[in-house]
Amino acid sequence: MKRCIERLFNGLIKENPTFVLMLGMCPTLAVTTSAFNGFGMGLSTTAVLIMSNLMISALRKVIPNGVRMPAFIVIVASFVTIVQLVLKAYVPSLDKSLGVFIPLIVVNCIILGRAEAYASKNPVLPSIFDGIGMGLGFTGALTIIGAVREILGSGAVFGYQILSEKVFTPISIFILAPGAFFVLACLTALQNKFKAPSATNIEGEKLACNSHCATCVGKQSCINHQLVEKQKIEIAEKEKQEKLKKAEELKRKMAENKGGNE
Amino acid sequence: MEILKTVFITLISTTLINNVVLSQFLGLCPFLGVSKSTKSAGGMGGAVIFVITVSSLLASLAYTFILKPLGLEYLQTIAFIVIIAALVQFVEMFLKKKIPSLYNALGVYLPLITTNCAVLGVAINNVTNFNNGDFSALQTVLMSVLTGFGTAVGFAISILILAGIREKIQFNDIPKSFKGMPITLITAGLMAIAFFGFQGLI
Amino acid sequence: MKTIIKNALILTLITLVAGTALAFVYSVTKEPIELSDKKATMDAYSVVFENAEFEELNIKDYSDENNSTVSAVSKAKKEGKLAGYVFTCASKGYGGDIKLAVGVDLSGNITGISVLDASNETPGLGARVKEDKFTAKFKNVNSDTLSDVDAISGATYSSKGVKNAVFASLKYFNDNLKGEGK
Repeated sequence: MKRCIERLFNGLIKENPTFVLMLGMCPTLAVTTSAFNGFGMGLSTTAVLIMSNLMISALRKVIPNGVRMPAFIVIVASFVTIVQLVLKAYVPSLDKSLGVFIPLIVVNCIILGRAEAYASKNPVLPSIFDGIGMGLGFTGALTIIGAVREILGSGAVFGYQILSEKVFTPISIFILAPGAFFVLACLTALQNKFKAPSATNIEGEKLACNSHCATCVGKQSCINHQLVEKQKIEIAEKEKQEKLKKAEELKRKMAENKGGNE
Repeated sequence: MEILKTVFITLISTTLINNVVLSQFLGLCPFLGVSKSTKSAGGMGGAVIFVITVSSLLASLAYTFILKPLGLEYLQTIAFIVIIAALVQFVEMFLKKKIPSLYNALGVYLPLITTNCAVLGVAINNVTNFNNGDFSALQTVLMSVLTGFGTAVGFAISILILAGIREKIQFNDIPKSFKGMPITLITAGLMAIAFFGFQGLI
Repeated sequence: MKTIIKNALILTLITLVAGTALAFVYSVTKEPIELSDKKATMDAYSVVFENAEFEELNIKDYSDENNSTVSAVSKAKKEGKLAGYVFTCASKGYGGDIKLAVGVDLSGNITGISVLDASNETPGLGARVKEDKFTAKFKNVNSDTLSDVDAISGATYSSKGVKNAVFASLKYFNDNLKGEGK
């Protein structure tokens, strides 16, 4: 049970797929024109992620290593189609506004990445929770980005006008294509500023997939994860050493001062 | 004449007006990732043009002549992703054996393309746009190939421009927090604004 | 060689199972998908033409010089008598087609419009054509006064798309249906 909770926390915060691992950028930028769209996309991805993690983890001993990737792709693609059909039948408005990005969940690197990095190596229950955690982390990130863009772009959140047009003139560029880039740029800049470890802070060449998630399936995302972890340790080390250095310097100065006094 | 006009308008609208990266947000990952130098951007662009053109041909053939007659339209996502993955594998093996020089230029970028969402996105968009009864089977296939080619050229253009700009601003004095990914994203955003200008073209 | 056959077999098996599962889900969701489309259209029809019954006419697809299309026309009857027509029409907005239902009474005045699909428009900008504030402006407008309807500021393309679609419906009415039922 402890492991399951740890998985949830891991996906939501520690390894948030959007903010920390920088995976699945296309839907992140494309569907966040409003908080509701971001939320819907996040939940659809979560559903696919949970089901594919469950299935892949259950079949992990059946699927031979040689045809692992094609098998995963087929499994993920079927779940995506199921989600698409269900949305079409019961939430047609969401299906229409997300459009082509629903079938494109197949190539969302988060899903194949988690399948390869976690579900294919771990038992069913933790894999499900890994899916829930990662999915909710993604949903949260998309909703936040969507909300920021919606507030700045039209003064509303989830379609409810909160800033009247008399007080605040909407900056409509934020709900158009360029706004997506600007919002994400500012978010990553903030991450850099506060030195929150994320895939973007590490020098691009060092990342296994050269910092593009196109290749970031499977092993590479594990390597990236290790790199992020390593960087965390390095930063901690550095800070420790700096502290030591400062302390030593202080000592030396004090000693010098003493020497001067004598 | 009419045909030429359609071809021209389709090419302009897919490459510039509805640019795949800057206004449709497809294929962002390689766009941001492989745009460090114009050389690698050119390689990626070339590989994408090749793969998208061929995959739109194969996907539309499979859809119009296999899936649609059998009433299996709902299998399109699975069918397309499998076609694309197989195609990329095949192209890679073929180039390695037969045209090593081209393989050396494009080889590293090929495997990245399987999960480039632009490839699957174009295939799916083609199917939804050209299967509404306005086109005959042959026209559907031809239009898909044309759209695929135009879209891929649009991708190549925008990744080359971004790579050029990134090379220029590499040694500029950028605020520390904005170094790396953020400034690239801002550049992409400014490019997207510039591409708005093409909207009045047609 | 043996592993290749084994791998291929397992992969085929997975694909088969996936295909069967999809066929099942498809057959379950097929009806709701069709129903939800129909229900949305019927709801829109009763918004644009209140308290009426609808009877679909068989028409050929019609498109005018702006590439706006009329894809369906229904007679709207009140107490058995013909009161007007309802059109399903579409025109290009900012990101793609905008689909509308337009109600027209026998003298060519619009009884109301309702947006069926504006999902390709930008939320918060173009998608605002869906709001009642905008659609109410079209009430009692006819083909002469259509150009006086103000566009939404910042959403010129989408507003123009709606106007073009409405224009196509009115034109279809004037050319083909005017004078009937009087």
